[in-house]
Amino acid sequence: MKIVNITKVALLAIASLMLMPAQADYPDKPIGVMVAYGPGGATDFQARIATLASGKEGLIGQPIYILNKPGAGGRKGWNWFASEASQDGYMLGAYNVPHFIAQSIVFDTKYNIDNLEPLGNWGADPAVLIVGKDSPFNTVGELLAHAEANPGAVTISGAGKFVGHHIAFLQFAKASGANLTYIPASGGVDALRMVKAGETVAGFNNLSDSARSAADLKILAVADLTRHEYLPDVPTLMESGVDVDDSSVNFRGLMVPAGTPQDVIDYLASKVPDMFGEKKTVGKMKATNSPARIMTRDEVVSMWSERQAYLTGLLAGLQ
Amino acid sequence: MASTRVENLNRIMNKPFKISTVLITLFSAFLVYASFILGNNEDYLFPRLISGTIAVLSLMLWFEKGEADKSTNFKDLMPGIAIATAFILSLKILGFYLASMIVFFSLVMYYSKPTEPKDFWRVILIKLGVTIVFSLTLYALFTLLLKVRTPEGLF
Amino acid sequence: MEFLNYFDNVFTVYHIALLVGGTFAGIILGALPGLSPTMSVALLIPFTFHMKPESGLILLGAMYTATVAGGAISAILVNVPGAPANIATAMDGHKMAQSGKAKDALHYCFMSSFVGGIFGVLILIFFTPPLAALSLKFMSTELFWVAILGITIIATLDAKSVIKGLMSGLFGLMLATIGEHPTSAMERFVFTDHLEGGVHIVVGLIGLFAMPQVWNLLENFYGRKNEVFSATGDSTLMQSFRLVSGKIKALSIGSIIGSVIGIIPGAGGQIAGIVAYDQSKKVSSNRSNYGKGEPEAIIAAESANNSMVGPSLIPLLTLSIPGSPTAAVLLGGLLIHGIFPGHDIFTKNTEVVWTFIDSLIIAQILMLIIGLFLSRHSKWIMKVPDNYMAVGILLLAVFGTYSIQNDYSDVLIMFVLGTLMYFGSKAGFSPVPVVLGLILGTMTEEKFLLGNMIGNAKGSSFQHFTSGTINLILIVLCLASIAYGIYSSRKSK
Repeated sequence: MKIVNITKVALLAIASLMLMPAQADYPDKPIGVMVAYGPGGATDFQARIATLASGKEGLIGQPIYILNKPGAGGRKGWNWFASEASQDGYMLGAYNVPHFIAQSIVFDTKYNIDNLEPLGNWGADPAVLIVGKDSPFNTVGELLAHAEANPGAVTISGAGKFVGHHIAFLQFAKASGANLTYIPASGGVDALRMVKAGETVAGFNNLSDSARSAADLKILAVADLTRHEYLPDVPTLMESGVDVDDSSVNFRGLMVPAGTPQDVIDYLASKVPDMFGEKKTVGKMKATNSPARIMTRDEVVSMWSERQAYLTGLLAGLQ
Repeated sequence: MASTRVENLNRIMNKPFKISTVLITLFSAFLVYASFILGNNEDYLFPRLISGTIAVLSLMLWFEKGEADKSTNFKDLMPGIAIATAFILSLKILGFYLASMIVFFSLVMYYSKPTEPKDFWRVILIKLGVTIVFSLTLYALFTLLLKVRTPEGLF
Repeated sequence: MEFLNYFDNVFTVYHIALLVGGTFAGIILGALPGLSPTMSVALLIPFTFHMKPESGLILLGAMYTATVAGGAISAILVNVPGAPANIATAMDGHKMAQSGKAKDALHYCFMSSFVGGIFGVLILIFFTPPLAALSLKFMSTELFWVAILGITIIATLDAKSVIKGLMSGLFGLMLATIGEHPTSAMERFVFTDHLEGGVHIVVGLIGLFAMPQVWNLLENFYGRKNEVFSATGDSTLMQSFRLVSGKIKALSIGSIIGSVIGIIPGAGGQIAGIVAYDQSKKVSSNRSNYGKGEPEAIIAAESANNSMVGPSLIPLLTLSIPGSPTAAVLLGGLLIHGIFPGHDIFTKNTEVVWTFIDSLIIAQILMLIIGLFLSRHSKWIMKVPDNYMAVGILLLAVFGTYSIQNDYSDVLIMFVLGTLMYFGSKAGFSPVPVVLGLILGTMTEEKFLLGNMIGNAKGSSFQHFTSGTINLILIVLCLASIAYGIYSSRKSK
């Protein structure tokens, strides 16, 4: 009897070991975070700051390194992440909403919200409507009045197609009913240059970058539900009379590919928001003018599906 | 009119036949095909402009009096290309460092001059030594210093 | 003369150690294919994360300065430019090396880099406000004409055949259209997933220059004697110095063109060397020797490269608009330390910014000293047997390519493109116009489309492209460049 029992126990132990490959001591080596943009960009350096504390006791417990896979507006990195990244919890990815959701709707991508699992959100950078400092326009109303009188003549720059700025533009054009022209620059920096130089009449750009360049710009409105702490005097678009919500806000956070074991997801989801909220990390985010908004996995899951539903409608017929 | 045509014909016939001109014309035709037929929307305007110009220039190439193509010593080149191609294709399977060591050693072994020392084992040891030192340098530079993470391969 | 007050901050043991280390490492990294200035600075930014802002910036600045110059070493010794900026140097520098004058070529390179570099930093110190305003005047239409100006010199770069030169340049433009469309974001020519991201400029550069060199060494392995270059042709440091200081024309053309291109926003910085090369050729009395190992060519190209560094920071620091791809990465390095570019940067971050700028001057001096020291040992590279050299270049090319975007597809693109180029070179095609086309392609198309959209919104696109002082000046320059090209090709027949 005894021998049978011992054998049984041993067999069970072996079987359970085989079923749970090394998850018991996850994580036991450094973890990667794939960033779909080049080093030095906002997503890259925010990801580096946000994951600074990962090695600390009580947080993830292993250091995090960044793996940049830039190309095709993020599509290349995210395609790789959804199709080739290891599903053992040792390769996380940084997401940008609404960029990757919009791209998965418009393009034939290998990723969509169903094959990615969010872990937590560290930042939210709303789009703001800006004009050059010598611009004759001081309010959204003045700009729209000008657009009404000159259909198509109001050019608005943004960081390319199907990114937060573009979504903000589409919402703004739809809600105001004005005939506006979108100018898709090659990136946020170039889109900002266009506004500063007076090349375009206005622009949608990141709140963080615009707030830094306040001397060269006038910030007319924020495309978010509430005013932002960095710019307490700037009204929201809704306050300015244009019905635009927060669908264009650039959310940044971490995710893993679907297929990652559930207990690994749960482990990471429980630690990641605390890591983002670590004191030094928060201080560093503030010092670099990076707007933070920490959200848990469950909050992000519902935010993703909300965006998916809304953007599908907004982008329908646009292609 | 007729005389210039004969002249042109003569020029084509008299110049040394160039395989490169034929290949380049075919390649230009492919570029035109790709940008006009495969790409079927306004996004292809710029490539069409370029490939069209390339095609016209490739026709002009037939009339140009240029130098003859340089000959290629395929006997000595092909083994190198074969080894290097195998190396490139095996990178993700073997991992960057293992594949690098293999290609380094095979290339310096295959390409060796008859003037090298006769002692076979000494030569192998030296080449193996250089292979290991070079690979370690690569590792120190890219993995340790620059923190570049190369695919590890299946092993 | 405010900048003189902050040299004290640079001359601390720690900062001097950072500068020496950064410069030395920068020269070596710059010489490796793939580790272009942009890449090196990008890889270094995380290292500066835990440093104090001024220390981090000093290290990044030293790296920027040294990698730009270091790229010339491999261009001269093995005909593989370390970065797009060093293409022009390869043309004459490698010819000099082949005739046993590698050390001389390196001397010229570092001395002229130093002159150009100091010139550029002085421009940065004394002329920042007016030049920042000028830099804002370069909008889509102006940038389009700058790109066209670059394209007009393509055909005359390859002296052997204008048709082949043009075809190579156009092929480069064609390569640039692979991947994402600049304004609609739709994919073009993506026959396989490997082409999804298009052809990265540095990936193209490595393939087009490094792979042909590998195949060339292997193909002619048995046919060539293992030549040991005689040291008799080497001149002393003093002789090199006399030669360089006598080339005032080449130095000033290089420094001025480099500075002007530096303040133009965007990808332009990479063509500084080649534009200076072309211009100095047009006015040189040694014109016929260009492409055959002419010292003036190296001097013009390298002084332009380094003089671009300082001015590329002018729009970056005051307007947050980078003047070169490396400056774009440096923007991240500034932000990560909480230093926000703006007109008030000199008042708000006085100490950090001036310390950084002062350190750039010291970095130029160190670059000169370390560079000249390394030049003395260049003969060791030239003595490496061909088989080791070939496989060494192959491996560095593969690792360098992979590290740019952590992407295996890039390695495949590099390998295939480079092998095609090798056979193309047998038929008289040159990689130089291809790379230039690849650099200018995206810029040309994107700026044209954006300018066109904005012009249409304003009423007339044609008028938008042909009005404004800078546009008109650039159009005249384009026409002059074309006319000169036709004139010189007629004359050479």
